Amino acid sequence: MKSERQPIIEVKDLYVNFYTYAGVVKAIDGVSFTIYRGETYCLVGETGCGKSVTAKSLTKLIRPPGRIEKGQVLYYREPGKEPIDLLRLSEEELRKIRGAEISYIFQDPSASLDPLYTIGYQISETMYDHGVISSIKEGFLKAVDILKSVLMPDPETRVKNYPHELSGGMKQRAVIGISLSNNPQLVIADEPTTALDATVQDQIMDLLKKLKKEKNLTVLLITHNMGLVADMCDRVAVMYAGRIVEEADVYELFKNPLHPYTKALLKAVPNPVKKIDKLESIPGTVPNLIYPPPGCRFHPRCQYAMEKCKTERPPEIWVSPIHRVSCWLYS
Amino acid sequence: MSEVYEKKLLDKLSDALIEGFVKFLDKVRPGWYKKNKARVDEWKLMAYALNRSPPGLIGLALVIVFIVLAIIGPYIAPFDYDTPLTAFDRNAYLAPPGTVITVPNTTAAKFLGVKPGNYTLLLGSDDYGRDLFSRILYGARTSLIVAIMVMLVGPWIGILIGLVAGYYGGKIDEILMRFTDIFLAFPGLILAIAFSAVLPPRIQDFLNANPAVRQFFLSLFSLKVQHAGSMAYLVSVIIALWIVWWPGYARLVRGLVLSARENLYVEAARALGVPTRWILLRHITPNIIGPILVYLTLDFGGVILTEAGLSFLGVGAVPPIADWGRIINDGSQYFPNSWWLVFYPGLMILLTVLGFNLIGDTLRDILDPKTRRSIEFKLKKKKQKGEKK
Repeated sequence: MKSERQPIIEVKDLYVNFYTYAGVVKAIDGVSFTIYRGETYCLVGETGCGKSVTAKSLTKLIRPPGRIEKGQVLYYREPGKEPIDLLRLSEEELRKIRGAEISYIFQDPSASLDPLYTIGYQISETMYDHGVISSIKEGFLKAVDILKSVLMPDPETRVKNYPHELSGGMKQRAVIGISLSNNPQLVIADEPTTALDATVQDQIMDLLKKLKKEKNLTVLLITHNMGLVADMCDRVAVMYAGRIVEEADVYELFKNPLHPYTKALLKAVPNPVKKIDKLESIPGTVPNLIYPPPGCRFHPRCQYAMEKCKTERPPEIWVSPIHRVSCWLYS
Repeated sequence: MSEVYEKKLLDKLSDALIEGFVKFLDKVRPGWYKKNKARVDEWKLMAYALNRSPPGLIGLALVIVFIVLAIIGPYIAPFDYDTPLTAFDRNAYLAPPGTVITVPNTTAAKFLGVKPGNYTLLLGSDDYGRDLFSRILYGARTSLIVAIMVMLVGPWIGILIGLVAGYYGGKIDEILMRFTDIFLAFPGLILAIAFSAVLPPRIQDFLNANPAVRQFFLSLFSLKVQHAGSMAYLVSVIIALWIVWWPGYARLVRGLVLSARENLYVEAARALGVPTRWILLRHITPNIIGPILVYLTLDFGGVILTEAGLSFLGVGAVPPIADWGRIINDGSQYFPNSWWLVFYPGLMILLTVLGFNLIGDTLRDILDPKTRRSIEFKLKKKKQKGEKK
């Protein structure tokens, strides 16, 4: 099985900087990972660690003052064929890929729908702009089917509704419908359930799972919710301050976390089986990425920090074929 | 005013107007009303908001009077804008308002197209014996056409530049906004004076080469063919105002776009591969159109004022074209003895500009959904109270 895995996206050595008045924010500092066809790949990490920036860089959605400094995003359009580097494509070529082959689901469904247009119009618009349909009117008929597929109650009425007439969960269903309307290969879900309450969260994740199965999607899920990771993902990458500190198969990661940050993160998640009085937290705060700590970016908060950690960047160490970690403890 | 509104006579009137319009639309496109019911309700609430704002109503009345005068003025004016009444009656020279003059049955009268008889000069006349009332009516037409022509082009240059600069940001923004700054740094009036002084000969050549365009403008301004040369000055004013009128809009729109583009739905549209021009047109412009509309309305008065100012300074309309600014300029040498030559055109400018300013101010309230909601709730409350009784 392992040898048959086909990569769909290969990110190599990505660097993204933001040029702000306060200084240069080194938001992404040498991130590399591969997403295979048909899997759900997770990026986890706390707020501000660069998850969303990584996701947006994949199709060059970073706007000034942000800039992709270097790196490659190899996109395997068809399995086994030569990949294309998305970062080298022109804006127009990228536009044709965005939404058609690589699609996004954003965090806040209330904000990602334009308040001035009906749900049907907004679903049609994406299809229209990619030449799938020849008129917006035609899109409304298709939009009903799409809303049905995302389990929207009463799709015939909802298609003519404006965003403010829908509940949060319904809005997120509509957003998912929009992003899947062109049958993309890869869906990047950027914290799709953060703005929703727990029950709706569960429904939406079930829906994503179902759609993934039906349409044979590859999903890049960005989240800070460890429960969601365990529920949804095949492989997980843990990010800290713009770097991937550990990447592993989901079972491996939960069973055998290696990086001190991952360990601490897992300890900070409530466990329904083990009863504890107090959740552990990680001491210190996320570093300022304008002046990131030298060496390993986690060392100021790490209880195992050595002299070496303060000066040299830890290499990527493959402790097993499905598990890599960036930490001096394992060299 | 009582806490709870009730439908006033005006509300019923505006309801009837809107319903009539909707019926017409429904006839042209069957099923339109059913689809747009919410929109029609919103229109009605907008009308209620206007009905509850006395300054807005005054502004609307002033503007409507101005527009009606500008449209029908040339047809109801007793004399042409250039008829020298001194040719018939010596009393017509600088006649005060209310002077009665007699036009005898002569060949001159026939030649100038004036019917013989007694006329009362409602607002007096100027040093050529031209009827001030007629000239003010023609002047309304001049002002309206100049204002419309300027507003049709000038602001949109700025809006386009603002949209592009705001959306793309970075270097494009920097270049476009510095270019805008250059124009802003120049006093607009001075620049307009320079352009309106330089352009006329070229415009004259152009108009002579294109009789169709010339005829179009002549009928717009309601001028005689022999004054096409003078009309070139008015056209230059229009072009000069195009050149100076956009920088404010570029600034305004850029600011609005800067905040509008940060909306997640713009980001989402980008991420889903919507082309940039459609993002700008469908998702950004409609979301910022309110303030632009308010600014456009307020500026309508501004254009009229500036045009009158240019004419007053002697670079806009030239004799014998009837223009409020020009009339004031010509009449100023007889001030204060012949006060009516300055007072009445001045009053017209004042009322027109005031009207546009008042309505622009009110438009801000009308376009604000919160105002409409509060009115809706108050109306509903009244209804419920009435039912309880």
